[in-house]
Amino acid sequence: MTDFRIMLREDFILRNPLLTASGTYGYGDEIADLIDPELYGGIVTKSISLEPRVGNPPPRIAEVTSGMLNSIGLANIGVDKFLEEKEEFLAAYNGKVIVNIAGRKDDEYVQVVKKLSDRQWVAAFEINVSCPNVSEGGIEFGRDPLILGQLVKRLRHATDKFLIIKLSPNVTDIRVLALAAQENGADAISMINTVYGAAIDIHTRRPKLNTVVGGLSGPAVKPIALAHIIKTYKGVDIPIIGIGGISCGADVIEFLLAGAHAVQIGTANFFNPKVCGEMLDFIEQYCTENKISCLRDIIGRVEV
Amino acid sequence: MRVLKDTTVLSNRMVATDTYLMEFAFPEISQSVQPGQFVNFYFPERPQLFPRPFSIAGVDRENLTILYKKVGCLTSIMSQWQPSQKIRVLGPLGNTFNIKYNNHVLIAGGVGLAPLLFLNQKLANLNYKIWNFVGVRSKDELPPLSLLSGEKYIATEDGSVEYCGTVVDCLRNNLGAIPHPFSVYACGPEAMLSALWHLSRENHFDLQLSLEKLMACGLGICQGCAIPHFHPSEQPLRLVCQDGPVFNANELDWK
Repeated sequence: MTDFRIMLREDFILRNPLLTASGTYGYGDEIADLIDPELYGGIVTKSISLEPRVGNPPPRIAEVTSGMLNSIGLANIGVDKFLEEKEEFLAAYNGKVIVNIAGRKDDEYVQVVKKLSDRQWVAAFEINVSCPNVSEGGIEFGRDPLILGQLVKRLRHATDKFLIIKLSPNVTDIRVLALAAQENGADAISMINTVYGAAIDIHTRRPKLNTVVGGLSGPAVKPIALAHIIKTYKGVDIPIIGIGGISCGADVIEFLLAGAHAVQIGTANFFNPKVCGEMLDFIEQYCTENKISCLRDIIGRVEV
Repeated sequence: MRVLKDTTVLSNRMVATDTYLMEFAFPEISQSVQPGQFVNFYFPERPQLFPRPFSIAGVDRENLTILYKKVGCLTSIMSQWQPSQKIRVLGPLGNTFNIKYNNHVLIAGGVGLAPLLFLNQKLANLNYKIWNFVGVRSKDELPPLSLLSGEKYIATEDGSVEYCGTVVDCLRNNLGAIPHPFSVYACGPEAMLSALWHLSRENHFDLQLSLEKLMACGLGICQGCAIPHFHPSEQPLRLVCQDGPVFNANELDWK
């Protein structure tokens, strides 16, 4: 048996590097009967905001070649209802619970973090500063290193829990943002959020999303994510959690080689509910064949 | 309880132009599925990522059937499947039609007949009185209606069989002959459902509509299939996959 454990901080060790990506696994309990959460190293919840959000008007999704466009707009039940309805399930979960947080302004992020920080079962926060689909509080925090730095600093003061900043690829140089997160106390960065994308119905001549432009995910964005991770890995000291179209075990290995310590599985949960188990089987076989006893040994080992 | 199942195609035959009836084994759910519910078919190796939802069109002992139309890449692949083809199916998903009265009107547009075939099967087993209205563009698109019990009305847009015109107009012309109270159950293209919704507002009959929307998961997770919902005290959006696919006309607004 290969050692799949990955240490991201002394007090934050994943039993394996596979996490769910925010927005593709609900709050953890809704599809646990179909996709066993215990296969994953951890669950990243759907984005939680201070107040409930209805999200954007339909149409909210489109299917494109090897990808998915979405413009859900952070629809969620809000932090109070999240605690009321989901705490019991998440407290009993054996993997790591990572709560993804969205906000319109600094205070909102900080208030949600404070409401959750005393909960033992919350292992980490992932801060969404990169949603392309909301008019305020989304990507604006993730585009300017000064604004991002201020937010991270405030969050760092608000909690000792493991703090992950989720970055957008829709910027000129993602490394600048990664460094701003690191310098202000983030424990890790996760990348990439969805890539700007659009699609048009040629018969109606209307955009396929109500917001016209949305976020592209799925296998189509995998090379983009890998490029950003390879570039960022050399420039930062904190771990990177890789996200972007990861759909099979070979993709996981590819992301680890590029420099990711862990990965998030998103859109693949939709089109292959068995994907996590299949990935673990593949990784075990790959490690055995390549005489790798500790999976962490391949992180960043792409030979360039 | 929903089950993700690797199973095999038992039969898959063309029953009208580009329209196919497929039977597959699914003993885990065949006794519990209800009319209105759907199953997801998975195609994890294809560049078209989303699973495809299909209404359950009937149950025979341990087997389920779906009725589908060849419209795109994945349904073209499906139309080529032979018996023993391996498939991955998840179900049952979604809610069901709500049977309240003794008289039942089923109205289908094209392949929208699928969930109503199953509903007809169930209503016939319960010995209810059934009126079926089926609309297609032309005779060659008409699925065999031998599976339907009760009275049958056919509408074709080109007049190649029976009533020439829309299936909603066909229903309107025959509405007076159906004893009250009755429920109307519908599935079909948006324009048909909209016309029917207006007819139900004018004539005050119970109308339940099975809707179709693009879904990435079918499980309430992606939140992609949201539709506006009109209930003053409730949330403004509902998910077709989870809160539907069957909605009462009172919950919708086509104005």
